[in-house]
Amino acid sequence: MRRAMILTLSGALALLLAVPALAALAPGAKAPDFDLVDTAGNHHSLQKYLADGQIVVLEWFNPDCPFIVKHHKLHRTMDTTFAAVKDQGVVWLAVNSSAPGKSGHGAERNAKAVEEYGMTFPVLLDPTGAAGMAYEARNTPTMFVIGRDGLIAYAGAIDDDKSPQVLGGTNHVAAALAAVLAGGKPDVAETKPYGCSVKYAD
Amino acid sequence: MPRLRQPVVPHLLVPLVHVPLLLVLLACGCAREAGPGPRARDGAVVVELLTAEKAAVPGRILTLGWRFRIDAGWHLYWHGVSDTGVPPSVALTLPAGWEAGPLRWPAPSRHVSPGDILDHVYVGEVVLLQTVRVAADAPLGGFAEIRARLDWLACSQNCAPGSAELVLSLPVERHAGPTPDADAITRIYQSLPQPLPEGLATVALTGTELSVAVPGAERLEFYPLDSGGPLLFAPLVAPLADAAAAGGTLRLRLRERDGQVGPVRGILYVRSGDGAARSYEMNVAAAPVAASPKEGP
Repeated sequence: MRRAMILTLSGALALLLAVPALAALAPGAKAPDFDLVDTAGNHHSLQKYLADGQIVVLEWFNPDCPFIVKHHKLHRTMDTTFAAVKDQGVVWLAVNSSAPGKSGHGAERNAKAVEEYGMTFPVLLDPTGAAGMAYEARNTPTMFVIGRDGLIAYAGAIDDDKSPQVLGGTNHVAAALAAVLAGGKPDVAETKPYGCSVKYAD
Repeated sequence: MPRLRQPVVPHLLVPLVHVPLLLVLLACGCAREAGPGPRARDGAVVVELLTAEKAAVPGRILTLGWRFRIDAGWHLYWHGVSDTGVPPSVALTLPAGWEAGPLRWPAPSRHVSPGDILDHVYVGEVVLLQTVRVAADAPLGGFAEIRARLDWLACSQNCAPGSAELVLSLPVERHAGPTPDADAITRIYQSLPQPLPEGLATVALTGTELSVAVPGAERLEFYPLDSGGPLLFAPLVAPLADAAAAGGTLRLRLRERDGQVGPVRGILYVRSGDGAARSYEMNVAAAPVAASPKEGP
């Protein structure tokens, strides 16, 4: 049922050429492709979503990270932000790069999280960390908005309050989506993500 | 910086026990531990308020130490640039007319996790120092209450937010002698990063590379502070690779943006051949990247 991620040529190149620059792959970069399986066994291919003309939001996810709890349980930031744009050709995907044995790993734990948090989008499993490393994701959550052109339009934090409880006054992803949906570019295309570390394999 | 935060736990009203010098109020979820200063445990961390003076003296400075004792395997975060985590915060409530200074942060240590994740953290124990100026008109003979809400994020294999409320009641007197913690607080103060002494290091910017040389040093590390602005949070291209090295030279590649590099602010850690370690404040102003010769006139 589950299948390891197929790293396509662009993804592999991004991985090879990755120079640690910021805390995540920067705006303007081509979004590395992926084909990952969600907790229900469905495949999600970035290339396919882009071919369908969708705008794609990626959220690096770990159900056991307090900052994910902040935005999924204490506040419903992610689902609320998605709800406002889901009828406008926007796909939202959570990606979990926790390695086996690490916090938040596995289909079962994440299926439970989808239910517990009432999530309106799937959690894709990336246990090898290949997708996470291709995107240079270091935090849960790290957010990416990928335009219809396949380029990263926004990379960074969901909002501007990095505490584990208090919601920020500015939702950077909502602002970036509004700009991209209007055919423009976000005023703020890059911020420093905040949160837990992504739990890659040792 | 002191700031208001919404409490995450419902407050349990604990009746205050009146002890002449020190009082402790614990937030729900914390366990009480015996000891001289107000203290509380939440999760992997015990917080305690130390003072250097036995009493508050009108118009004078009080020195506070926020001690975090961190269980083995866990860490707290420094206030500078890290890939993950958030630093602890202290929100103080002081009597009218009292003024709090900023938190003073000891030098952190580097913590690298799989996936090239670089954090600057504290393990074991850290004491953040803070001075408070007592109001000049604080009434002598009474008691003054210092109330603090502490919030922190502790991480191990997973992360857990923690919080506590500490209350210290101090007599207001004309003179104050030192507490048993005064010497420890002085030592911590003396070990804080100091201004970089003239002549200790040669700091040179060539194009986009900042070289830092300290002759005779056995190891150098640089811990970046936020240089301000939403896009200047990461002045270094590769802090993981560049900002720690054996020997007396660091070569820091700087991010270029709009034809400019820097500013670079942070802490320079220097370990000399005899094993002695010191930390210094290092500040390099923003500079234009010189145009290459063929672009020049």
